[in-house]
Order: sequence, then C-alpha cells, then structure tokens
Amino acid sequence: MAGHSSHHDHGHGTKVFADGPLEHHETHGTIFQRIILPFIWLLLITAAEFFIALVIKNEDNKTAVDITFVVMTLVKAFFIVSYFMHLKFEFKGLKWSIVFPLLFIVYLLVLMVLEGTYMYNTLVG
Amino acid sequence: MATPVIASSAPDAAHQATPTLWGGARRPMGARYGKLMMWFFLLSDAFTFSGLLIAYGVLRMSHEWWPNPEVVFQSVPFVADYGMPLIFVGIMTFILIMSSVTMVLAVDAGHKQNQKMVTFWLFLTIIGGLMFLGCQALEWEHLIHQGATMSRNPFGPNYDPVNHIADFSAPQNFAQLFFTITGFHGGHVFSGVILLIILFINVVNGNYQRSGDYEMVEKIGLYWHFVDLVWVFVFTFFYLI
Repeated sequence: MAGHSSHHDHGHGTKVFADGPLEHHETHGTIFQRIILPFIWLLLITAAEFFIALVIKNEDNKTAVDITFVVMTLVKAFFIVSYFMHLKFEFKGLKWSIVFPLLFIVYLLVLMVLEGTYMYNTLVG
Repeated sequence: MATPVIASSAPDAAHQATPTLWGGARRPMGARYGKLMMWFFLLSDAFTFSGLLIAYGVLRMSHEWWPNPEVVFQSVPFVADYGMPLIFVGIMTFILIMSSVTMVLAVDAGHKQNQKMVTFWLFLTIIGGLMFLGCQALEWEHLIHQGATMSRNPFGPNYDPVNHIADFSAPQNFAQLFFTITGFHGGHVFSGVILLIILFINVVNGNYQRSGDYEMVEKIGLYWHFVDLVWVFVFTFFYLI
C-alpha cells in the first residue's frame, strides 16, 4: 500500500491518500442528528443531575440516587463515545476492539468492590 | 491501444478482487493507522483513569464517614466563599461540554474541506479548554486556602467555611485523591490545549487544505472528547455521589 504515493484530491468524496483510499465515508445523518441532538441530551442529563443532587437527594434515598447518578453517567458516556467520538459508525472490528477490553474495567471494579466491603467490615463493622 | 495501469488505480482493483474484509488489500477496521493508534492509546488511558477512580472508590467504601461534596464544593470564586453548592463545577462542566461540541463541529468542517470554519471552531475549542483550566486553578486555590494538601484533609464533620474552621478528623486521603485525579485530568486538558494550538497553527497555514486531508483534526478531536468523557466520570464520583 505504501507504494501508491500519488496524492491528489479527485473532487468530492473520493480522496486518494498516501496510504491508499479511505473506503469508509463520514456522513451519517444531518448535523442536527449527529451533533445537536446528542448535545441536547448531554445538557438535559447534566441539568437533571444537578436537580437531583440539590433538591431530591437526602439521607433516606441516598443509595437509589447514587445508582441513578451512575446510570445517568453511563448514558452520557454512551452519547460522547458513539456520537462525538463517532464510534457507533465505525467498522465492527474497530468498535469491538475498543469496547470489549473495557470488560477488564468491570472485572477490576467487581474485585475491588468486594475488597472494599471486606475492608469496611474488618476496620469499621 | 492498451492503457497502461496507473499506480493509483491498483488499490481499487485489489479491493474488487478480494471481497472479504480480512482477505487483505483493504483496511479491515475501516480506519487508517494514525486514527487506530489514537483509539488504542485512549483505551489504555481509560484503564489508567479507571485504576485511579476505582482506587478512590475502594478507599471511600472502606471508611465509615466521607466528606460531603455539597459542603466541600460550595464556593464560587469572586462571588461567594460559601453557600453556593456545586454551582462552580456546573459552570466547568458546561464549558467542557461546549468545547466538545465546537470540536465536533471543527471535525465536521474538516470533512467538508472548509478551512475557515475549521479555524473558527478550533479557536473556540481552545478558548473553552483554557477557560476550564482557569476554573480548575481557581478551585484548587480555594481548596488549598481552606487547608487541603496532599496529606491533609480539612473537610471533617465540623468543617465550617463560614467561620473558617478546619476539621482534620476525617479520612486524610480525600484531598490527596481529589488533587491526584482532577490533576491528572487537568494535565490531560493542558496537553490537549497544546495539541489543539499546534493543530490550529497547521490549519491556519493551510497544511491540511493542501493535502486535502483533515484527519489530524479528527484524531486530536478524539483525544479532546476523551478528556470530556473522563470529566463526566470525575464529576459524578467526586461532586455528585
């Protein structure tokens, strides 16, 4: 591939780069669908988080509120990664080689939550 | 007369000859080397931040009492020293989300080969990054002023911002974890701004316009969005929960 050094723009859409043409092209939906809508969702979820933290949260509902916060955070992460970082529209191979290794984080999390509970019970309980 | 085969048409011919994705002569991941490596770098960076945040979670879980974020973070620099919980971090979060949006718009303008708009949106993104860094400096300054250091935490149960009374009888690693994790994130924002400035100079000079290839905007954009992504988690686990 590196041998194809011809390097010019063939008008709109198809470009030939130093290391070959890019087969996959970018336009998926309008700017509203790709950028504005995810942005509105991020703003709304963040605003809801502030509302919950300042108005709804109290000593009695703390656990339920904290779980809600984590779920909202994961939804926001989904919007950033799939739309802003465009991962939703990438090839399957790229998508899964990024998403699958994240399971190791879940594994570490489970491991350390168990350890944290044990430490709490030993030191405090 | 037979036309000689020119070099630039060879990849297309090879593409048609091998219909399978992994059969060779085409990119099985649909992305070029640089972008692929940016993704894998970000994956490794995600592991680093996960390690820090999970360590924070475990230390917090193993304590009976932990400082309440609404008490610790209740100042707005130049406005009020106390009494406005989470307002300032709300402003910081908004700035970072906005700079992510301007970055997406810069990438989009790059796909359209629109040099002027790439310049415009990149400029706004740099401003957003600098504003975030300024806010973080102000917040750190306030916390240090309250007595927080890498080894001391003044936000114990009897901490009183109104009468400037510190209480060091709380978990000491709170401030250390806060400075380490937000500092590591802030370091990423800082290097992101440096990368954006270099990118901005290249865009203004027309380097990408000449080669017809704005992929560098996309690659640095990925890094910038990742910084925003990490902030989403830092925000939840330090300021909300």
